[in-house]
Amino acid sequence: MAPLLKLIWASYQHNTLRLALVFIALVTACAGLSAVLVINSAAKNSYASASQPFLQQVEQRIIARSGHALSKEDFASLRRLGFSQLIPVLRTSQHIVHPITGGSLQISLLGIDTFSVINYSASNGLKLEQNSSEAVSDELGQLWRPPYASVIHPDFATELNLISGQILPLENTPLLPKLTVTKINGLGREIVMDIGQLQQVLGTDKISELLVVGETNDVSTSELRTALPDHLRLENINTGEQAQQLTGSFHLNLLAMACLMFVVCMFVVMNALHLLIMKRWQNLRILRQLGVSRKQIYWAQGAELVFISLLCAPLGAISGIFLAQLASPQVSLTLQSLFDVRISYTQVAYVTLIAQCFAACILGAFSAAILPMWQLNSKLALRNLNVTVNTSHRSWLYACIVLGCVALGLGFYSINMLMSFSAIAMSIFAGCSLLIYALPKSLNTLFHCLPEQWVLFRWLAADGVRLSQKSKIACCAFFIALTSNIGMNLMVDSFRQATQQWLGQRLVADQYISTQSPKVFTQWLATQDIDMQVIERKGLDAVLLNKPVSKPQHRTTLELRSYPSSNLYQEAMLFADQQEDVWQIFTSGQGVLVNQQLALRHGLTLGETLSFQVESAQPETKQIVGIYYDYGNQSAQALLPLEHFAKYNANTTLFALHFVSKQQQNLFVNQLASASISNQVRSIQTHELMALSMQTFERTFVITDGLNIVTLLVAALSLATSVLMIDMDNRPQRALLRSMGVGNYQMTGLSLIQYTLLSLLAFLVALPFGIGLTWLLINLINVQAFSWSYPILITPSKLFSAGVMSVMLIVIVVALPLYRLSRRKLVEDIKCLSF
Amino acid sequence: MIEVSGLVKQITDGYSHKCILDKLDFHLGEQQSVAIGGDSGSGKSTLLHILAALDNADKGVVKVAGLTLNSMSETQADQFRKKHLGIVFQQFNLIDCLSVWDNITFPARLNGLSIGTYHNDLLEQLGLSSHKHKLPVNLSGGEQQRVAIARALSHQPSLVLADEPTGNLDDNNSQNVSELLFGLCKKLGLTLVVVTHSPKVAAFADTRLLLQQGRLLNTPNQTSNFVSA
Repeated sequence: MAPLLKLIWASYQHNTLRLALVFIALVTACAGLSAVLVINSAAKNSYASASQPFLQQVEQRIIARSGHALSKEDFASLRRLGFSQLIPVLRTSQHIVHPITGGSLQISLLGIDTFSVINYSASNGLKLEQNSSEAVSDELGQLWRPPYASVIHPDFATELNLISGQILPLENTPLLPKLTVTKINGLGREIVMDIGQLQQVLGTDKISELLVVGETNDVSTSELRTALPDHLRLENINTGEQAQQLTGSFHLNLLAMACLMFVVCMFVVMNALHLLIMKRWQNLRILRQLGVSRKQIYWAQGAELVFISLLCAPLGAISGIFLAQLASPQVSLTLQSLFDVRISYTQVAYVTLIAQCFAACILGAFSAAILPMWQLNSKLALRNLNVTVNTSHRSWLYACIVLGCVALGLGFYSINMLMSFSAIAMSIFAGCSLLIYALPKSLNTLFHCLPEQWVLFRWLAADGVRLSQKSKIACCAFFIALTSNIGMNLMVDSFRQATQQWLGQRLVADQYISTQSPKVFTQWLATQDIDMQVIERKGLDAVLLNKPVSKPQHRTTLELRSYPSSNLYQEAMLFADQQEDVWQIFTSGQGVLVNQQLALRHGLTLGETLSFQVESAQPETKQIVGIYYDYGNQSAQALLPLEHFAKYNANTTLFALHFVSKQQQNLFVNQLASASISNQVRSIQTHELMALSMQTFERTFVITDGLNIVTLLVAALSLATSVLMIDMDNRPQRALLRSMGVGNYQMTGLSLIQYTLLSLLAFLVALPFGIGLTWLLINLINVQAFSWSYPILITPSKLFSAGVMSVMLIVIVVALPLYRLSRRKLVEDIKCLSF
Repeated sequence: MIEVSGLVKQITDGYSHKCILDKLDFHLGEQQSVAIGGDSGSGKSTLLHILAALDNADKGVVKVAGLTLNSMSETQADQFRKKHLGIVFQQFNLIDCLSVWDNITFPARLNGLSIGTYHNDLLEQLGLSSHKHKLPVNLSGGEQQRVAIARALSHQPSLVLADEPTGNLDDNNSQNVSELLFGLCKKLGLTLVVVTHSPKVAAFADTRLLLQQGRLLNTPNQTSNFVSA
């Protein structure tokens, strides 16, 4: 084995580029995968800790209804009724003055009744996150015993450049208790202190919510609900699991892109190994003639792969962590703006991550080595030199047809994400088969179509056939990256257009007001002399009764919202499907409009009935008369006329304002800004809302876009490098042309045209598959992940730019090596002709 | 056709200089054929490179078809090779992705010449008519070398250079290829320079030159008996 390994080691001197390609591909694959693993795992930890500060088993909370407040008296009276499992919490977001930079910093503050926590945990064995109860009790003790402290997680403190012992002032001067950086696992992206201290700092006695700790069941929940006064309500908490489910699609998207990147990189590895083995083949044959067995050669190659994986795994993992850190602000912003969940970065388990990368490397590298090894195997069988490799291109066409049919079948009958992703994989492999079939065929056709006088172009086409056959694995990698690039671009573009159209149509008001104190706002508005129309939007939560469930926590919550039925709002509605007399039935109160998410998740169609129940009221049933687009909303939602909400104690969710003129709107904005209620309402103009929505939209796709471009670049690099390497192996052919008087620049130009032609053909084959991929992404993946779909919009300019980009990428990547090749003296090249 | 005077070519290996060609002088008229022999390292290949304008002389003057090769730019050298030169290699070096016919007509088309009777005759005279549409990989060594000869003559160059044209062939094929190469060049009135170790091949030439350590042991007027030194 040792001489064999020595030979492999010595061969690296002549195969640097091929070896570098294997390294780059494996490191890139590991980096992409580990970055996504780090992001997903950090997010998972954050959801768990952010939703349940310090405490586990918190599934419910009590909050005040809209327009009401939760007071100390409410808490005291509930305790007097025997509900000792309630823990008061005050959440707020405040601007603090940074003690070092002096800048303003918006930060979440969490006040928790630590005394109740400790008492309850002592008497009921309440678990305090992952720390032992005693340890956390000590930590929490310092929050409510003098000298009071506020605590922050070390990661968050590092991010904000804060240290223990600092006293943070709020912008309006009060000081927070002295900061302690401590590693309580439950801490998230907030500063935590005792509720009494926070109330004192803010000069309030408000309570945001009462956490219901300990185990809950139907009986206890029912008792608590009955005991609640009218202005309070019990709701299930947005637990970490819910946040995970909410953002699951986002993480799935990331993981899918990382997996795609991994697959493309494995193709690059396969290509590089193929080229490496091709280069070694002569030496290996000599070894076989000297009596070295095939088994020994395989072991040596296997050992080489393990060694390479050992080097690449840690490099890839570290690059991945670096990438994750780079992407972290973007991911945080995206998740915060999309799902209102925050993520922080906890410590990375390096050993586990490197082990995962190593396993992925080994698995990927050995899978990628199967084809080159299989080819080597038939070559190394010295006695069987007549082994003929099936070079019939038609078999690739058959493979394409079979794979295409499988993809269609899987797509048509897809019932889950696994089947949908399999359909995508099959369609991409079908595309690869078609590419392998079509490349030589089309170049051959081009060769026969060109006039005989165009001798150099004919040579170019004929030589291209040879090139395409030798570089087919690299071509496939490039094709996959290109297809996904087209597919993703079209999907995002279609979604962007659909969202813009949807927002433009739905946001018909000039301004929107949201407030927790609607009465205060309407009273203030009544005193203003502004020519405008105010449309109040009401909303409340109901339980969907269409699908019976055994456990109350498994019930689907349905958002019921009011919708105006004026002509303006009728025209503003964008339906995916509707009945002819939709508005007539809707205004009569017999019909309901449901969002696409609700319809797709529960298989509801037009004409069917929707049954729901609002709290303890009588269940209601309405006919579904319209299914509307509702992008970005994860919840099931139904629209009813405003009059329908009169019988319920419904919250006002929004005020839509229509002004008679721009001047009137400006007048309103100025008066609101100077009014005393300005801090109780959130006002946004429609154009600002649209800009904000589109900003959030763009942010959502930044990371997947990044991975997409990296994948395309790696694939282009692979294709260009392998073509160049094949070219170098093919020096005699090029030198021959030079010996016949073909100029240096002519040869360089021919090479460039050849690469352009190859990438252009790959793009042409990728085009229909990219469009097909878009269809699968929108109509299968999107529907299964987000429960919404939208029409495919094929923009020729987008496709054109994708084509230009693919060609440009190849040309840019090959430009420098080609330039270097062209600088080589002819006499050096001509020697390879034995002249 | 070829005028070489005071040709010197040196290579530098670290600090030492080695003279590959040392003050070479000879002259060859049109339609002549010459065989150049000599040991390995005697400078035969370097001389061919310089005659093909692939390499430059360090000193001296080299003229081919009235053109001074020393002063040529790279583009001019490309044009010279395209128009005036045909090369036959030891290892055939056919364009493997093109058919026999495409290989043969390649230089003519490169020069913008029309393809016609001349090329069909060439194909016939070389016994390649039945192989016209085959790829080189499907031909024997002798057949491939005949295609290489046809290709070298395709554009009727002024000078044909052949480097060990029979080096990869058996005796029968060697004899056959030599007859065809020398015969066709004579018939078409082309000047032929053949580098060979084989006295049998050299016997076909009008003139035989012997190189040793970069010097000519004889001149074209003093034809050598072509026994390796």
